[in-house]
Amino acid sequence: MILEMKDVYKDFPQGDFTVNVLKHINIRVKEGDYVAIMGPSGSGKTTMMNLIGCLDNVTKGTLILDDEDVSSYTDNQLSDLRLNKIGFVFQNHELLGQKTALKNVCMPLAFAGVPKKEQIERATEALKRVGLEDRLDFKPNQLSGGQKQRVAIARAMINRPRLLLADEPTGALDSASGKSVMELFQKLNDEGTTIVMITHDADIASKAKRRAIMKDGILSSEDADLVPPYKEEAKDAG
Amino acid sequence: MRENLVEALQEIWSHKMRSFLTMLGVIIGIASIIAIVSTIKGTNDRIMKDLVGRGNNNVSIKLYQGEWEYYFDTEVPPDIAPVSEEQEKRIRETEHVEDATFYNLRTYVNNITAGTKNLSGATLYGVDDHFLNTCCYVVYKGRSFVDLDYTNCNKVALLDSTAADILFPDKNPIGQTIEIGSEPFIVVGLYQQKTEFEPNIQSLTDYETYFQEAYGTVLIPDATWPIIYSFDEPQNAFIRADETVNMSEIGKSSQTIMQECISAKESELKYTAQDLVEEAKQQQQLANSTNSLLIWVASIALLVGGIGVMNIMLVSVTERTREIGLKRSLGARKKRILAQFLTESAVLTSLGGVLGIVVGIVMAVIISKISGVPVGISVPSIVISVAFSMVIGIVFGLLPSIKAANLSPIDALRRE
Repeated sequence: MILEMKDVYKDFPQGDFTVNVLKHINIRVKEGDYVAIMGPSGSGKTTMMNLIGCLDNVTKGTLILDDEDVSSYTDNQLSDLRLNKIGFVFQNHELLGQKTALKNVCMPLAFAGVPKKEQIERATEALKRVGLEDRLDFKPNQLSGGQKQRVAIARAMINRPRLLLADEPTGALDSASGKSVMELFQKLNDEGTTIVMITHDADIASKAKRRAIMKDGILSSEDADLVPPYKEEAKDAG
Repeated sequence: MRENLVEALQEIWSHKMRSFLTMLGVIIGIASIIAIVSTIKGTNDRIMKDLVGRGNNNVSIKLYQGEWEYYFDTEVPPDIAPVSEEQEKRIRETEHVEDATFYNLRTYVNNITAGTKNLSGATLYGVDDHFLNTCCYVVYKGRSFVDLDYTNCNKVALLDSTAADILFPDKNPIGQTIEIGSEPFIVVGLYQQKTEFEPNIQSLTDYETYFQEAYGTVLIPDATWPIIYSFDEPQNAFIRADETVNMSEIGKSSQTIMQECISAKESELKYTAQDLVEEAKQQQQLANSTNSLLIWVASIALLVGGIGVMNIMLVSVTERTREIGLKRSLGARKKRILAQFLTESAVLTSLGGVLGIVVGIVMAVIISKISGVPVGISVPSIVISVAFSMVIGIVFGLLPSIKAANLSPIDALRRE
């Protein structure tokens, strides 16, 4: 199982109260899956994504990534996990403005300690795959929204992660650019990359193989294989 | 590491004005310290050169009785042999010894006359054939002593210009006769220091040297010494070192060799090398202690500079929170973020240090032009300054960098 969450809870303390953002989340994502998680804003989608992406710790429950329980990993272990097994695509691309497209894509390679020459070769290759071979030395403000998002995808895929996480990848794009990004995702999934994507756009979600819906911190799906039904009685008995 | 450096330089360059203003504190601090240290070193170099080396690096070894220089009466002190040829050879062959001379000496001599003229308070040396060379004297008129003068005990004399002016104010002294304690000596030449030096009186020794020059000095071959005084008088010595730093060492070793001449174990007599290096060091310490106060004051400027750096780095961390969050989410470890900001802060202050050194040297040169204090650029102090400014960057960059590294990635990404 590439990703599995077992009864995951996430609370945020807010002054004297505690906000229960996520409640008994269960999800099982297999290798090669393409999952869309839908839901209105404020339902906890992004919080769930942060947990999967090892950017935050679960309050309760178990998080398994690539068959390993990472719930109690140290900060360094989580950093390495993000570096090697997870690729992030953010809604607003998050490219560094003062760096060229090539340098932005090189960043994770530099973190992994790849030699400079190999970094440039691999980043060039990655940008070629997203169709930006003629934009290597452009800075983000010289690129269109769709191009920026494609640079971000090239960056997310540069360390050949097992799992690609996308948080509203088309949220800030016009429909044409959005379409090209979705085609790119399809291509990556066809090549074997597992994708988990957050969106509130049913059209975009329809491109995924499976769908789940987040509402008020509870995840549900018609697909029992993806989200096993929650057994409250068993929980209470336990 | 190299990547961090490049990134740091880019970041500093992209905020040129801000970076420069931040560096200003470090620049002023380092510049003041360099200016002060250069002035101290200049003064110290001059003390060393004037007092110790006097340009010729001579160590003086004299016979002492207890605390005082031995005063020659008519009698030769007991239990003390003249320095033998073998001992002289050993001293001359010691490492770092350029040359050595052994001489007899009387000071405040009043019985040197030429006709009606009298040389009072003069200094009289009975010298060997190494004397002129060791003491860097040259004969500028007439001739020097030759081997025959020594073997035949010729009664000949060399005068310095003071003695010549007093004894022979209006005629050529060469070939004239002078009387030393009623013994006639023929003046064969006049001698002087190879290079003129201005008297710079900083110690009693200097005063004596200057005094000798003011009252006149007469040299005669040591072979003729017994004609006026007595046989086998103990000798003093000048030993010339190849370099000023070796003066103490050769002074001690030569002193030990000459000490062998004193046979009595319990003798009050003792050959003592004047350790001018030590004396100079004491004077330098005096100069240093006044100036080290100034260094403390300059250090306050550095401290203020460091706080400025910390302040700006904190601003920089806040400004770049999103960048930090992104890097962390892409898999950068905390250590990497820490290193990035530490490098930036260290590069910033090191640049300030380098600029400070340039400004400091310029300041030192200007100070020396105005006040006449010499400037000595000390390489170690430059190296230390750069290292120290780097340390300032690291120390004052630590707090902001730790703050950056400990940012939670999601909080950092969420921040606008």
